[in-house]
Amino acid sequence: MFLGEPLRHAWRTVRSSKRMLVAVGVLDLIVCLPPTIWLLQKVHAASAHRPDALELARGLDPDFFADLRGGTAGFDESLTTLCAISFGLFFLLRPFVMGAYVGLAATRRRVHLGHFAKEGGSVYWKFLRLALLAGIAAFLLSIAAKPLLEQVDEWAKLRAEATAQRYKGVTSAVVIGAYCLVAMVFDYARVGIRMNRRPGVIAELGRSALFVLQHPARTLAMFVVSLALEAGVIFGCGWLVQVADGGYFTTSAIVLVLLQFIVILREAARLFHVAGAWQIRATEAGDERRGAEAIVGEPEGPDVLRTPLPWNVR
Amino acid sequence: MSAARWLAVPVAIAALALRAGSVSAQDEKGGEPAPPPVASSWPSRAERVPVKYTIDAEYVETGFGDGVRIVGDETIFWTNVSQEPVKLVYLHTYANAFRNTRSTFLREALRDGAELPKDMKFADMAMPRVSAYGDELATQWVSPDDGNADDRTVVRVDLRDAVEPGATLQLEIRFTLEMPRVFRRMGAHNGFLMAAQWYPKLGMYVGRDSTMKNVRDGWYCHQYHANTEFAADFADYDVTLRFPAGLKVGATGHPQGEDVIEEKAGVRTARRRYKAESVVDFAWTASRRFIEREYDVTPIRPETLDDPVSAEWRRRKAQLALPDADVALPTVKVIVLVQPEHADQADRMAEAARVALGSFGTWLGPYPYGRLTIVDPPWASSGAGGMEYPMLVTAGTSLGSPAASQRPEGVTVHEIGHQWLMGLLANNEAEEAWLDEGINTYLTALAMDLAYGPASQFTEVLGVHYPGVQIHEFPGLAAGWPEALGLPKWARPPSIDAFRLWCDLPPLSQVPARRYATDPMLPLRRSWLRRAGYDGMVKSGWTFFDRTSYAVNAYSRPALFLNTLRRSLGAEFGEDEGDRRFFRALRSYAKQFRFKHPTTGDFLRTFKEEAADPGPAADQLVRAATTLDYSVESIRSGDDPELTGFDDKGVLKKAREKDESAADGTGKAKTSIVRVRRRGEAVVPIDVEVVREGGRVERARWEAKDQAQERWRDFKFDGKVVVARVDPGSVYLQDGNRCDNAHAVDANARPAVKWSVRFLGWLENALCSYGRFF
Repeated sequence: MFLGEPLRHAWRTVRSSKRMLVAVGVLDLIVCLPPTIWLLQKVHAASAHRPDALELARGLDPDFFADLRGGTAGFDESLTTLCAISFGLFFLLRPFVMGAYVGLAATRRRVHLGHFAKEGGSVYWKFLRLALLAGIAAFLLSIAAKPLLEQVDEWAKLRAEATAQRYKGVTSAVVIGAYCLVAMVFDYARVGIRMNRRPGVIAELGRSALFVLQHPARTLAMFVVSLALEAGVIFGCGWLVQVADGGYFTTSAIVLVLLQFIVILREAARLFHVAGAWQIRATEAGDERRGAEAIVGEPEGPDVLRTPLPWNVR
Repeated sequence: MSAARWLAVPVAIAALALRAGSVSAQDEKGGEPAPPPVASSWPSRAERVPVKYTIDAEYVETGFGDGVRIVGDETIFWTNVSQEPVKLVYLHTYANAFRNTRSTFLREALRDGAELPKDMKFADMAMPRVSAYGDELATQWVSPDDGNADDRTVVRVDLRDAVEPGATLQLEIRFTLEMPRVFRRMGAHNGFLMAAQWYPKLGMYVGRDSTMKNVRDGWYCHQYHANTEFAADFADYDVTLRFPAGLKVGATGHPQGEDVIEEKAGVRTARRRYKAESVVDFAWTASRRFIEREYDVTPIRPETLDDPVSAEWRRRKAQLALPDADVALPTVKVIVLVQPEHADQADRMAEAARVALGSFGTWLGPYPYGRLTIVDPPWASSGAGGMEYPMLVTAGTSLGSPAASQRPEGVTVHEIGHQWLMGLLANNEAEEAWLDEGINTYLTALAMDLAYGPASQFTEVLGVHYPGVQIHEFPGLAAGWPEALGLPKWARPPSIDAFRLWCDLPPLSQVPARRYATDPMLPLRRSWLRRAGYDGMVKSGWTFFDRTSYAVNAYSRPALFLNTLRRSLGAEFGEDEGDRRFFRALRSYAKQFRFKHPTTGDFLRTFKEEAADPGPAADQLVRAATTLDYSVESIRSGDDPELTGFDDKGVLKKAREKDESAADGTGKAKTSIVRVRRRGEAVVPIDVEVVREGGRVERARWEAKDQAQERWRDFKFDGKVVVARVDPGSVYLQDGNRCDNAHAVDANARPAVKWSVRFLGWLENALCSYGRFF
């Protein structure tokens, strides 16, 4: 089976990394705290002494939020800035997490939190550069897709609404497909950097793009499986959030736990893809030793992390 | 009783129900019946019609696809009903607003952020010949409002001889109009034509002594602005339309007889004649794609108990003690011209028409014309939607629009409401837009609440309607980061629906929401908050701060003002008596000014005579650009430190004297002090309601006259107050911040926890979605 081994390896990696995933989930939570706490304060100030506070908690009252925004000078700007700070923190932490994920995929044994952190730190700067490149690539892709989307929009305007929606849907799918392809290439680049320990992020990016193009079926299938897992988590648990949501502290606590659970599962799906990609790349690169390690589970020889490598030294 | 007789009863009831049924589809198209007589005391046509138009217009397809030209011969008969001779006339050539981007309309629209479609095709209205009694007349483009030399929406015609009082001028005009691509209200696109503002139209002669604003040479003839609608005299129209056979056409007026088909050079052309009496405009539409449905709509079912519209009709009839002849609402032939993909929504539009005809008929008198056309523009021409013309309205909907969204219903009811507020009560829309848009917005909200209840909110992505709204849009993250960063247009990433779907994750981040919980006025209040205090309501449409301010002051603020009138009447006289006075005043206004041109003064005077004097508050809520905001600052009970307010320098004074409200040693407060503050500029009498421990409710009032010298006041109440509210009856929904309108002693953190958890969930998952790249 052309995906059997990568899937098995990915599953094993995820199973043995539960604590790490919880830790990453907590990290994600912490990153999002600045705007959340600020909003909590503002909502509390505006609602705590209202006689209809319970109704406000039970259902969305657009008027309340309109007053909240109107009553605080610079509300939108402050919240947007805080969200941008969260995004910035997330962006800075993500290379660390991704480095650790790749490390988990490579190590193939139960690791401790310290090892997890060490793996993340070992490739942090390279992965940060890669993340920057990914951001630029995503932005450029969106700019590149703009003329296509606008042209399709123009064509769609000459058609009936149903046909127009189909045009737009297909175009949207094509653009999203392109984004997925870019995301996939960057994941294989991460794997490649950790696997080969070669200098040069851009060179590795090129090699990874070539690798994805040379093995489109396996790489794409692995990505689709991980994406499907993530989408399954979102849709499978999303309705639980909607059902559990109420106006009480208990229901809010349940929702918080559920949402955190979903975030952890989404992280697991991401790790799943990285681990699968590692296995695909290792196998396809003909590195039987690494392939065999995946089955045996315990690497032999000195740990590469212990060897000081010039491009990892900062 | 035999079995046959038992069966006969339900059959008879069913037959009766069918006959009296609100909306019945007609399978066959017969000849156009004459307008049904309105057996009531309401006039069915204008007493004085100073203008008659005879137009012979041909629809010419030019080029491939979009090109449409209208070639017309028009004769205007204008009777000078003033006491002075008139030597010149002014004509509107509204369509030239779309002639180029230098026109006043497009300059203002583009300044306000509108974007022209990429395939914009500009209009051109030309009048190769203007003559009177065979003499060709000199014409001159003028710009009375802003002096824009590039604007060609008003033309002055100098007459050879003055039109003496009582005499009639016969003006003959040959005109051609290259239709623009649909941008706003009118135009053609992809086989769809919305011919509105399509012919040279006479201005209004109001006399040289008129006190009306923007009058030149006795004529009121404003340029076409981005923020104005129209003003016109009542007129009779006799319009002959020639168009390619096969086009489905709808228009103002009653078609006269069957279409005449002519064949010229292998092209089959249809000719149809329409007549309309006592209307302020004539519009028509054409498309091959229209599906035409006809309904005989009987607005009221007197025998049906569960129909809210009929119940409202019965309630007002009894409340105002109206005779049958005064409340009779005739059956109306409703023609729905709908896009094929929206055919399943045609019945909903017809039912909305029934709701509008029933509700507005109850409140403002019967619809007199007997025929009404509802047009559903195609999605790419949505700019033509949501507009009103006499006997014809354009609605708008989207594919698969759920019933709970009330998407075609709301706009249909609103536009049909304009048949009264604009059509029959023909105020000057350019100068006092609130009289039609505002009152209509208020009554639409009432009608929609009555018939449908609150609408659910949906998020539409790729044609799919998700029930709910994105949580992040409410705390203020609806605006995109590219705009926040001020990225140039070329560098802004496009909005990709599927990408939005992935990042916003509807299953996780959406919350079910209705537009309001109990008060249908609240969505209007949210709209008002966007430009509270920027402008007064009574202003020329083009002098508002911006388009949003125009919309706020024409639509939502006047609706809130009417709400204030009604609720303050209820507060003063009791709910039933207040309602009676309110609707009596409304009906009186509608009857007195039916087929006339009412003004703000007429409206306020009618209310003063029929309901109660709105007083100086009306000036603040209508004419002034003020904000209104009252708050409960604090509740102090028992041995709380006494605060005596702010001194002249704004410093808080404390403990000036020992308050008698101090605890008496039993631990129970003898007195509570509720501090109320006026934060806004508007001064209105305001009620203060407190709930004492044990549930007893007490009220006090802060009179407007007392507020002249003070911005805050302490109210003393016996016992311990646990909740205090200002404006408990929600009379003044104009209040800028209702979060501080009520204060409970006990704090409740549930809303804060709940919404910040949901926000956290959205943010965390959105970052995870973006994290796929990093």
